[in-house]
Amino acid sequence: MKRKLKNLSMLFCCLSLTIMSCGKRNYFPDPDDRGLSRLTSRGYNIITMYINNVPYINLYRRPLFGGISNTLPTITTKITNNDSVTLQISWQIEINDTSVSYNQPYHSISLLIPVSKSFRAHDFLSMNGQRFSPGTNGIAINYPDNYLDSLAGKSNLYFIDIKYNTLGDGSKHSYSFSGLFDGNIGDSILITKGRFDFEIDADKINF
Amino acid sequence: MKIKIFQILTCFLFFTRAINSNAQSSFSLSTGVSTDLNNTQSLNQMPVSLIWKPFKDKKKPLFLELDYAFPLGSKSSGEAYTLNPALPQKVILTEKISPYLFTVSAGFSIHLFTTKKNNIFYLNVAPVAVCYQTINVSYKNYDKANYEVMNPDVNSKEGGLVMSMAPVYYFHKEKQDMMLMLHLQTPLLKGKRDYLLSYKYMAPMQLTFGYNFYYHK
Repeated sequence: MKRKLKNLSMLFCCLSLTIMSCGKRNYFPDPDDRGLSRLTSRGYNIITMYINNVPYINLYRRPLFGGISNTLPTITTKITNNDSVTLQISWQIEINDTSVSYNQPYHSISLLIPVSKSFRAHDFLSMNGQRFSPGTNGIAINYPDNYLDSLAGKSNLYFIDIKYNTLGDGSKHSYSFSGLFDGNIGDSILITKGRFDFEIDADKINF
Repeated sequence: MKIKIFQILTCFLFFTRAINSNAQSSFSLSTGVSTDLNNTQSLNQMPVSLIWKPFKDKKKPLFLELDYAFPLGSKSSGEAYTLNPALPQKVILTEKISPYLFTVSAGFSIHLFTTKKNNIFYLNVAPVAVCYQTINVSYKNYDKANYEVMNPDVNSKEGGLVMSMAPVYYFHKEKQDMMLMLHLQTPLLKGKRDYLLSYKYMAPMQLTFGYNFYYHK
């Protein structure tokens, strides 16, 4: 009986380890830019950039079941004052180096794009292929100790590809978007070589 | 990879020695051109093929084949983008693809017919072979500082099992035959890559011409 129980517990441990170690996150090293993923447009749900020459990446989830997946950004419109609305794309970041300790200097980063009050999904789609003029858009960065407060600066943004996808039997819809960005917050924070590739369910977008 | 090749070679040698140690043997060396049937862009190569047949006897039709293919300039294109407002936002790049291929196969020859002039037509079949495919990629005139290539191809080194077959025609001469071979090989029998490349696993079709030499043990 004891032996059976021992075997069963060993089997359970092996099974748990197998389930927990299943899968790997999407990250495809760019041979030209150490620590960054390649520029892609395949819905790999990955964003990487340098902040002051240190490579950063979006976080990933490691649930007990279901494998590893990269976290998605939040994409919302926010009324900033009576006359203008900002399209905000935000995501949590960490240093893309597993040897680095858990003390991360930054919590999240946001791209801020001024849009009209009547901004809708088709306006987002019309940004496909648009490289915005320098200084048109903003960028904000949040710190871990007070992630509601942010520092803002200027950004360059290029939506290389934005698509609306119909999945499966037509009942599910998604947006996929990919592109490049960089920016600066004063002279102290320099964001360079940013690239993103996401696919988000249409019902997670509030416009 | 090396262990697999060694295992196949060992099994083959053991098997052939066990059957007959006094038979007439032959080996053939051929070269020619190769194209890839599994990709839209032409991955052309120059193959060199070495086939060793331990027996001439039709009842013992085993062979061991080594194929190595060198790349012949294959080109494709890629798109690169920049945030720099002083530069064009998109450029088209020329992509150079250099595919190498190495296959070790063991199989058997099926004798199809012999002509009045003693020319012989065989079908070589290798149900299991080991193949190693290396593809080197480079983009020409690429401004890495300012541009990023969209969905770039990268170098790949991949190995796995394949199957192959080859109709071979031997033009009879006294001590050596000339031979013409059309070698067909499946792509690597393995799953999809994690990262999509613009090229799939190669399935080469090789047309080679060479000589078959006989020797006695």
